[in-house]
Amino acid sequence: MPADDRISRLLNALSGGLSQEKLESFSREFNSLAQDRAETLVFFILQNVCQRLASALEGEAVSVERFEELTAGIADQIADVLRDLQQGNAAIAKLEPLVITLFRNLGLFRR
Amino acid sequence: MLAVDSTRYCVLTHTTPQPIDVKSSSLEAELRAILVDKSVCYGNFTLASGAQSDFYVDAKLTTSNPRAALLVGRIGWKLVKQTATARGVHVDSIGGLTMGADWMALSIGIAAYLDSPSSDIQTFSVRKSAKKHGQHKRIEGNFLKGQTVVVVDDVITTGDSTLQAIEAIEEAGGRVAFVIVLVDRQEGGREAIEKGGHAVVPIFSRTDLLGTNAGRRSHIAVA
Repeated sequence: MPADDRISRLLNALSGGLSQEKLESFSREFNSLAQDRAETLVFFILQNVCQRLASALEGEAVSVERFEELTAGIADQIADVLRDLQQGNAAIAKLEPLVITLFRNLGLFRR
Repeated sequence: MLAVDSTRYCVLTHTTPQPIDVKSSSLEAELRAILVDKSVCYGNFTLASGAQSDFYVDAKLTTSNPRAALLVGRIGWKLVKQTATARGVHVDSIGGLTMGADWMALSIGIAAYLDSPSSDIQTFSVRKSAKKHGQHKRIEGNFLKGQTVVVVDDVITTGDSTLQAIEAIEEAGGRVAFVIVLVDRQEGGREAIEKGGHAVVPIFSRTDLLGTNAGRRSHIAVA
């Protein structure tokens, strides 16, 4: 399957919202894309974002409110990065805000 | 990770252990009582599938409990024997997707050994994704290409984790005889698995645990 079709499928799946199962699936696909495409760093970071978030949701009772806190802003920012890639832009500048959102949502900042 | 308002009904209790009568026909009743006591929480939860529910089953609290593990093993092995006989298959190994399946598979494997050491039933675990380095193995433990296996899972909702395990086993050259689950939430997972040609044998359904219509999902958050 051409890489752009794979990105289109990811964008389509993202439009339906996030879930632990979807994040795990995205993580596998981003890992694969990192190995297949030129934008290795971008997909590597997207894979890590999805994996960390899926890990936070996995195997425990997550209240609706907590789920919304953990995933706030993530789907939109990933979609933004993917749309940039579709248009041939590297999207590097959008990675740091995405990781900041992830860290904020997970409560990882110590500063 | 839980918000306080969602945990207020999730209370761990400590009851005095009683000896297990493994000859009793009420093993299921005792296991059900432990599940309800230890694993069922009420609140508003987002499940792994993205669906929302007013109850959550943290089955690990039951399957990792030694007393409950003995019951899971006895009951699970009985179901494996009955189902394998009915379907005319020989089972080589038992396993499923880590970590929900891990305690359950080993419990059933130990029960099989105690009941029939010559059965030589083995157990294994399926990783959520292949190791990124080394041998890139997806299946760990006692599984060999060409073997017939029983897939186990602690809770099925959409059936996604069970289907992931089945896919990995079949990719690795195994044959799935049937599936045993501790709790079927009755939200389409059983049907999704059976659609792929794999019979599902639940030990308990949501109705068994909570009664009719309890915990009906109110909303599906994702497509």
